[in-house]
Amino acid sequence: MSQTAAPHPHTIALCGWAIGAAVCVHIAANPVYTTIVLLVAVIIVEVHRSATLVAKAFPIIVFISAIFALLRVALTALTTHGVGRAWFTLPELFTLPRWLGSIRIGGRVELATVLHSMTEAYAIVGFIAVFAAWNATVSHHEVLRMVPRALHDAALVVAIAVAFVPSAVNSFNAIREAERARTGGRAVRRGRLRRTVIPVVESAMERAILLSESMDSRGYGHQAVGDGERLVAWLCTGGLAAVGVAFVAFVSRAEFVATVAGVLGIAAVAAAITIASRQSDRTRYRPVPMQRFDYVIVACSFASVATVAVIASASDASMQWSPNRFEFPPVNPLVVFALVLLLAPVSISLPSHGKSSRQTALPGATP
Amino acid sequence: MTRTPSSAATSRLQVAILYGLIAIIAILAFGWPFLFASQAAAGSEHSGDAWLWSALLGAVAACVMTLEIRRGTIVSAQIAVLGVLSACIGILRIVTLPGGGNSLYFLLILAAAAFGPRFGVLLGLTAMAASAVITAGVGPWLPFQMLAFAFMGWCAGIVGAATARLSTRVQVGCLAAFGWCFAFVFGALMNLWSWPLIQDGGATSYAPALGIAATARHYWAYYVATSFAWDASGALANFVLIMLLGGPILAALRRHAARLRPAVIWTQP
Amino acid sequence: MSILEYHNVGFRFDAGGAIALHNVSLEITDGEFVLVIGSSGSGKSTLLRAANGIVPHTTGGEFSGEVTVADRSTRFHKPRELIDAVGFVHQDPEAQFVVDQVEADIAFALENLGLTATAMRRRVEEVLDALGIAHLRDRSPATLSGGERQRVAIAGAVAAAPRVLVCDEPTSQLDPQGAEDVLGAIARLNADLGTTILIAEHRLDRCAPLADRAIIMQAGSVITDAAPGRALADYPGAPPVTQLAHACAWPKIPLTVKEARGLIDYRAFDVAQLPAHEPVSQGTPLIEARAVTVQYGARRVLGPCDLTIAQGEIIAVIGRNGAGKSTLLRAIAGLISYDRGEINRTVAAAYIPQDPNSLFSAPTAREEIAHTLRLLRIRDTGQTDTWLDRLGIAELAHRHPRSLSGGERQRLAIATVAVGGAPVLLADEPTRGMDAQSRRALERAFTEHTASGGAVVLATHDVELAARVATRVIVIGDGEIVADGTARSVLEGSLFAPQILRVIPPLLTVDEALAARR
Repeated sequence: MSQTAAPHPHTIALCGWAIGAAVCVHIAANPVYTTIVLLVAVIIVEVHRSATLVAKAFPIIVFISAIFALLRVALTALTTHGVGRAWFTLPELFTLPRWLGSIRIGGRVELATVLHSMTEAYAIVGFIAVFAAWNATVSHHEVLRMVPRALHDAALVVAIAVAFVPSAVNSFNAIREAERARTGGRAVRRGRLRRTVIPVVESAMERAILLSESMDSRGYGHQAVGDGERLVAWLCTGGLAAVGVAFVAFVSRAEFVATVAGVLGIAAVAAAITIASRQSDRTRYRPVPMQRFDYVIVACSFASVATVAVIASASDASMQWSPNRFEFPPVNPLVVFALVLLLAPVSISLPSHGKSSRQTALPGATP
Repeated sequence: MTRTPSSAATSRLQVAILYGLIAIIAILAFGWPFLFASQAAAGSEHSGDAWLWSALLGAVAACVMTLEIRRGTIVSAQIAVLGVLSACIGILRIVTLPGGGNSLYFLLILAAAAFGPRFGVLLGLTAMAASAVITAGVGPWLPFQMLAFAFMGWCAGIVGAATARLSTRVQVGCLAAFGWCFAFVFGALMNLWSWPLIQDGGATSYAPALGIAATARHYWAYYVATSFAWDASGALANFVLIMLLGGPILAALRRHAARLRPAVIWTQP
Repeated sequence: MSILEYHNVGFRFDAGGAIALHNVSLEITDGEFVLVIGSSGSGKSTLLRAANGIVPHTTGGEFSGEVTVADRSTRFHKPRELIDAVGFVHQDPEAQFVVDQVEADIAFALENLGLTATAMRRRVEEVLDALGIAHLRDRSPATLSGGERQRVAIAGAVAAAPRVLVCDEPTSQLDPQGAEDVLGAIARLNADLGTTILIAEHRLDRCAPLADRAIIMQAGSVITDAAPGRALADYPGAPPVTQLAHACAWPKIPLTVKEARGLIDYRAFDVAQLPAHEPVSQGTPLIEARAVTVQYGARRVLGPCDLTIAQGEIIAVIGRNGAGKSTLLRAIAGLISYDRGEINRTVAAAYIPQDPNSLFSAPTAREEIAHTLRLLRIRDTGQTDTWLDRLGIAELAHRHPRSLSGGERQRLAIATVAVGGAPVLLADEPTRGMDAQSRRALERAFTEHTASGGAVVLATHDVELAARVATRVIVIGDGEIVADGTARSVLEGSLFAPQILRVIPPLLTVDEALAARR
């Protein structure tokens, strides 16, 4: 619930932003464009980071993804020996045995290969950074509450899990202390694993049983489900089948069939979720409505993707950059403009928008 | 949830069809690089986008699977137990073992063995979702992790059911062996997802239209180079953990099994 | 008009297993405050859980008879359909939350009921105010104190405006301040909103005066059902003034110090016989702490403290929550390092943690105790049996530690640590949530341990315990020792004073008062 002073974008708006930014990074594979999206992600995290501990994970996740990308580049550089211009030559270390694909490690390293690999890997870092930014700005509490009612049970399990983590960590710490207390401060290694893990699991199970009693007396449970249930099941079956057909058609380049089947399949699954949700009369406490600026954010993200996609389909040179030597990649100002549109979530915390803060927008705000 | 007995048979068939489809979709979503390997797909300009679409495929499959939870009778005790075990697995995921491996499988395997394949599937789904929320790791990769983990839970449940009649010691041994094997299967599946993200034409990278054999060779070399050591340490850790803790944890979980399916007998005094 | 009725209710958790409830018939009137007491395992919890059908719908089991609440039978209505009739709160403050935000958690019941957003909002605001927790609305339950958590849990239970609130030992894991807040909130719900209360409690000195009626249970049956004064008269866990009145056969049985003062005949007691000066300590010192200081970062949480623990002593350390009692015990036990000062241990000291559950990993109670000996590489020459007997848990030795009740687990934890043979035992809140029987066994064990040359230090909130067993009482405030002396000299004139001391100073306990009878 946004009780914070600064206005915060709606969860759906942030989802729109993340998907838009990710698709942009994917289409516009050019280090300059990737850098822009990365910067946008960093700025948005700086402005809208959530108050939870999880928000601190952003730099860690970006760092880990960068390591992963570097490893990939190193792997390609060490194993790929093309016929193009050599950048430098490493001593040939060894050749892997046949069952490992007889791949040669070391030898000629080609500049074009390395640059191409780096461009691709860098785009992946941007892609992961976008989702890391989403995780750092969004309230997971709010995400779980927005899950359709039909999927409520699963969301409830995750909510319980998140609420249980501090308790589990506390009980773990208490067990470690009890373990030392038992032997008068001396650590006995033998069997320590068992003495720590078993009490954690036992306590967790006991708490789960007590929690289930608390849930039942607070009205958790299923109502009798009507005829809609069978329809839901058939819609799911049909939807899944259609999506599968769509993917196979997509692979065999039957684009029309792929589009039709894909749209139908996703529509069927969406309908199934909607119908299933209608069967539950559960309501939601304090739903957060979308504001005007939330729609603006979604619209900007969409515009950004659309612009990038249109430019890409016109075979823009800056989008298919495959370098053979160190050079500054070509840049299309229109793409840069489109990517800057992704900064939309930042604009709502500018002073001119101060009045339309989320807090005043809530129906019957806190007395 | 109440269901009329007459519809039970049809719905059982329907559930079988649905799970079959989910399996096919999951195979497509994970294994598409091998579909593109055929020469027929040569020159397809879509090979670069395929992983985006496969993410959508995975999401749909995970969604339908979650929708499935509603169908059986699910009681509050199952929800609560799923919740606390998901939290424990989520915490285990943060704890990295000395070898760099991860020990998150062993609790899933033991819980699935104690409570059955269906519970294993559910725990696989929710544990991955919960750990993603705890570690800020929600993204397009999540449906794949959920599906792979649910698959693991399902298999562990079946192994548990198949060995239920044997002595605890033998059963724990079987589960430990299963955990050792599956650590590699899980690692290979998750690598299969991340592998085609970078298509740089390298000798271990994914490229379309290489042909099945070459694709498999590239992937195998990639897997061995990037994750084999990591998975081996995780596999060993899970093996050791299940061997050491399997007996007492199974006993602890089973003592509460009755609560997950409360049976009420009404009698007159 | 009766709101909750039990007709010949019988219950077993397993068909053909042990009987949890046996032929219970009760009738509870709308607006009553009913106290359920009895030792652990007497069926209190089962009785309470039958009120809204958790027993048997959630637990499973074999049920006979009928429970009717607000004219609906639990036979035909599941707990979720009784949510507007019964609210339920149990003892574990950590296991009642489904969402990690106070306000959203309170709304859980209302969401399940399907209330509209505006109706829900209003109810939540009202409940927040009724329980006095509006300032906690945005917090995560994990960051709250136990007392605050329990009040949030009560708010969640009464959000759907039930006519009966059922509380299963809601204060057993709380400190006195938290317990006071929780019981105050429950009393307010009863007095202001007319909510019927059915509560199981061990803190009878606080709870009994609030009740209209007390029910005593034993082995699954109701053995007494009367006004609290009458019901508690010969109950072993009754407040000291009640016990005294019963033993002296006063015409009326008091429940509070105030009532007792009105009834007492001071001429019946000869207080001059007490020894004028009791020696503080005469044994050889076992552990000496000099100017011990513990800091967490820049914050000083303890000290400088001087403390000498001598043979034969039972030292009670009292003080409010967070005053440094546990820190002092941990420092003496060597579990945390201290920043300044020194601790001379001539013998080993063993610390008994607050939460007994963190110790248990063996399949039976006996193996749990024997495991400590194995860890310390000590041969079992009968110590296991000695401690099992001392704490009165010998007949539970074959049971799984997790199948024991709270008080029994606490006793097992003490045996598990004490069996290691450390002459100095440091116990942190050993009587929390204990029934009278467990408490007596514990007191006996500590007295026997000191008689055989050991010493015991207790960090406790329980002044009655301090009055009964302590040879010395230390008061800690803000990390420093502010009072140190015999129980009588420290407790006399203190706000912490035990009941008897307030009624007939300078006597401390019922036994002393009875001995001083003319």
